Amino acid sequence: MSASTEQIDDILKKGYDAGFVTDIEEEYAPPGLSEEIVRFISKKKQEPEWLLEWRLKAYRRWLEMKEPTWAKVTYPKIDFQDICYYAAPKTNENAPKSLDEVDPELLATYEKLGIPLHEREVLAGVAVDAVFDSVSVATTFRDKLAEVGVIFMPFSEAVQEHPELVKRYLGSVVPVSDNFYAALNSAVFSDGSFVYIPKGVRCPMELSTYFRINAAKTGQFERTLIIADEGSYVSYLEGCTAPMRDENQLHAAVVELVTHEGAQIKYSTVQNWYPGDENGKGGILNFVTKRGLCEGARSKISWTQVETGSAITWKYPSCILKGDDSVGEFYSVALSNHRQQADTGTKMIHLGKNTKSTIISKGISAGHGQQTYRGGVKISRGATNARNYTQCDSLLIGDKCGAHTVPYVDVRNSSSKLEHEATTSRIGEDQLFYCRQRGLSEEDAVSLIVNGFAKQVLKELPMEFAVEAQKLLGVSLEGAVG
Amino acid sequence: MLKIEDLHVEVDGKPILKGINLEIEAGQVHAIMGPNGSGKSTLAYVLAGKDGYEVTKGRVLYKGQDLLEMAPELRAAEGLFLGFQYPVAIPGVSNIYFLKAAVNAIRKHRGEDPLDAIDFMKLSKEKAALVQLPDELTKRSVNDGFSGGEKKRNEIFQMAMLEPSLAVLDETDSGLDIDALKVVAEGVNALRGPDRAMLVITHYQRLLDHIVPDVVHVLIDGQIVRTGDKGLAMQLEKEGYAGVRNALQP
Amino acid sequence: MTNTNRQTLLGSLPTSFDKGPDWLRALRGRAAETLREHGLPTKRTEAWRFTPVRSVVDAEFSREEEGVPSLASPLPDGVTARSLRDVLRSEPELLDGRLDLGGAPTHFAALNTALFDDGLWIDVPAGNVVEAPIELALAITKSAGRGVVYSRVLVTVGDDAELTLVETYAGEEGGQLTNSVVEVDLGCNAKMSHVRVHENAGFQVGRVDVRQAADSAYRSTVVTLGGALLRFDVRCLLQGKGAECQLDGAYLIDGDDHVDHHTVVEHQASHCRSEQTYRGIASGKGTAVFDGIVIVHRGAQKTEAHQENRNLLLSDMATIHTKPHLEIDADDVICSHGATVGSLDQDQLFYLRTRGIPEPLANAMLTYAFLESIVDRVIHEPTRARMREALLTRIPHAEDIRGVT
Repeated sequence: MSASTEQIDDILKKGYDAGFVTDIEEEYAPPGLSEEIVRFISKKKQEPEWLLEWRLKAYRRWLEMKEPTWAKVTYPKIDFQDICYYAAPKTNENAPKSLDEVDPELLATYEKLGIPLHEREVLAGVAVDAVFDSVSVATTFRDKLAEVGVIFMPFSEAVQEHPELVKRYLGSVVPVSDNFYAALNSAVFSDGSFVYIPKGVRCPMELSTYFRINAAKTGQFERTLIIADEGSYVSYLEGCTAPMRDENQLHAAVVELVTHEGAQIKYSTVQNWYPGDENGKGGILNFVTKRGLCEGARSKISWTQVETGSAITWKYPSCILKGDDSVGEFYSVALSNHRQQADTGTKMIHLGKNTKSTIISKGISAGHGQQTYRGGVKISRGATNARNYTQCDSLLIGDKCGAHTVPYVDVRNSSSKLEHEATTSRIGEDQLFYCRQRGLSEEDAVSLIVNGFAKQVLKELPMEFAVEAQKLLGVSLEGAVG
Repeated sequence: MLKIEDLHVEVDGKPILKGINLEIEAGQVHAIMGPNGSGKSTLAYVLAGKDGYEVTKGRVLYKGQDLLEMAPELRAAEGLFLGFQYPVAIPGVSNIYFLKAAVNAIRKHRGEDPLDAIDFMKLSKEKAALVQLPDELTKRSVNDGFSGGEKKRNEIFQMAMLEPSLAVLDETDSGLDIDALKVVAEGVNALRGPDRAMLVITHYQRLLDHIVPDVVHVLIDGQIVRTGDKGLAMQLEKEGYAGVRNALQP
Repeated sequence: MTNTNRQTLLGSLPTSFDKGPDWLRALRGRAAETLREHGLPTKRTEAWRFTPVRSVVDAEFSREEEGVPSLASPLPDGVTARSLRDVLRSEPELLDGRLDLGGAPTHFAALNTALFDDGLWIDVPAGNVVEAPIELALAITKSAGRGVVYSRVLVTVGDDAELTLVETYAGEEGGQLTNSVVEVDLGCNAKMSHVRVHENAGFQVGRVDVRQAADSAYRSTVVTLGGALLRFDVRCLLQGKGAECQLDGAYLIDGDDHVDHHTVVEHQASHCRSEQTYRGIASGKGTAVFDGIVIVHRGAQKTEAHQENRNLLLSDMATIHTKPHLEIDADDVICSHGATVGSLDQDQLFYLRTRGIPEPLANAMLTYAFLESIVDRVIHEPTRARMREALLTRIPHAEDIRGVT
């Protein structure tokens, strides 16, 4: 069992002393958000005073902020006082004891995705060993990583063990008042990952956050902070392949990346939160702030995302290219089927000289799905010789869906060069017929064509992830044609 | 192998095929010749099962089964291959991956195990050589950025890989120069065999110098107006379709 | 001009409208209502975020009378040009349903609807093909005080009729604000070419609203040369099957110019086609904005829509914003857009120089060529020649091109 689980268990045993009427068996803090709740969360996590102050500052700013309405998404109004902001992991009593007790439909999905059996147990939230296996796997790696000086641990532990690093970087890329959801996250974030790669170290393995999946059941406000010191490299994978069966549920995460001189972070996400049913009931409302700061010269941040889940996706992984010659990349495939709505894209802010950014976005809409690419490229006065290339393509399947492209371009330096291209088209009947004439079923043909459409992005993913993402695109589109 | 009986087909309410009768036996190569707009491609599409072609009368038996009831992929799995006049591009999907998916879908239908990667590559190298398809083309996206000749060679390459029972080749010669035509024809000839039938649709007699048919049909205005042996093709070459049309006048 | 009758723009709205036919009073009332409710744009208004108009909104203006563009060419046969005020008095029913034809206006267009006093109605009856262009000019005079002018033009082109309209808004930099609205109603299979030139048009907020019936074609070429604060919107509603529009624009700014072009093309029917090409050059401390939307409504199948915006940024003190976007709710469509911002192509420059062309001239040639491709589309020869001349005068060292091209 990892330290974090132990801690939470300990905390649960201690009971509340912040004035809440609840007994120790209770898993949730009472719904609603107040300064007391923020203090409560901080105390539960035994946080130092500075972090509590930081959270409170965020909370006070949040109170003054308005929920953003500019995105092209509609959803029932969120009652922020009706949400629980602290939930410890459930005791295992109610969780399924084995795969036999898990919803067969869910298992069928895993089968189609080709997820290994033990992983399926994890995903389905099977209580026993698998979950803790997964966590302990992470800790085994942790020892190996520690040998080269890489720090990889839950955020809450990093607060205890490396407070100087956390204090220095937390909020340095996404300030508490950055936006409504970032402020909310800053006030109430539950846990997340912390990564530090020391100078000159090439992280010997890809870091993955599969272990967090189970915790996602409770933590809707994760916080991730990755720092790559001079000349280091890390590839970080974030998998959210846990379909969740629930009411609309809010997920507001914040991810901050910092690269120093010559460092590189490759951040890959495959997001498949529960998208709601065919009629748009339920599903995750996914409001995520992800931003990287290329602090040092010649540093590079690369975002790759495959977004197939969530009822609402509101997400713009961005790069601030501050160091000279730094590079930002954004590769995205987003798919909206049934009643899903995605408003996603990126922001590339060029500050340093010779900075380069590339944006490749592929949006796929099917059913009644709505898809918006929203991207900003800003080239500042001092960003001499900056370059941006943007390509965003939309693929439509069926006549009830929508695809929208909204780029913002702001250029203030005459030696810079920017290109933006966008196309919208549909899966051609000719293509489908050609594939079927060669013996492929209609669904396989659609999946094949869609994967071809998305290839430019999928090839940026690490191998295992790419395979999973390909299958996911196929599964997510089932029933979209015919 | 294939029996077409009094086939009538409409497109957008307009009659295109007006009572086609045709029977092809295993081992035979039939050619259908006809001027533009006579209904040649419509016949090919109806056989392969494309949407938008309404059969108003008649039936088609393939290996004794009602072909018109079958989905396009089922027809393919049962061994019917259509070589497209205008092969379709599928950006981002590699030719070889596409074919592997197709070969294994068809094998699955036949109850055979999928080919593993090594066997598949071996087979594809062998078949690519048949039509002199460069290795580089097998790796590129399906027909994406291919020249006209490359597309047609790719069609024959796919045919070789899928080993159909009945191959319908729709204007496989159009747009080819003479060298490319020879390569394609050699590829087709190599695939002739006692168990395989072919229906070669063409506008020009030229192709039939290289793929010698057993039977030649002339399709004009939705009907087969003449049937004969290779000599008929030669006659057409000399007199043109107008000659055949005039000869039909009472 | 005395300060006593000066008012803010919103302050000049009357509380009620008691002149004119019922329907006009209703239109004006609705516009005033919208303004009272939503006001004029602020920097939080999405469509105005790069063009600050607070100084205009807060300022006090005196109302100027001369808001009717004058005919600068003889009126060809088959066309009538009448005063809006006269028609509204004598035969108001002719105009019922033809003002605010693009729907309820907001912001400055609403202000125009509420406050315009007179204007022009140009009508080409069905079947009339008018070959000679109609030229309209609105001179913007430098006034000592701050004046505001409301200009309104309605153009109706009947079924199978054709028209070429050339509008010039020129003047000196001055305190006057011009608020112009041109509405175009095209019948089935009607064709219209519309050239619009802004030359030092000072403070100007202009708008063209086009409503297109089946198989009609609208072609617009906009040339903007400078402007202290200019905002110009073109909006095409493709309401009939098979309608087409082509929107082209060129803008050249320098000094402290601020020029903002918006286009909206709404594909409401199937089988329509739209194409847009806007090109701009920003130098000095100027700011150029382009914002174009293509909206494909559900059911507007077989749509083809293309949009392109290219910009040259020639000074580090200048700024370019571009925002071409697509909103697509039908699936059987071919749509694309592209945008670029950059400086002159170094390879091209180098090539010219290896052929012995001095650098300043090479620069001028490439700069001129960049906009000339749009100016070339101005269908009216005298205007085209004038625009070319204006480019040569405005682009540094371009005078020397004259001998070359």
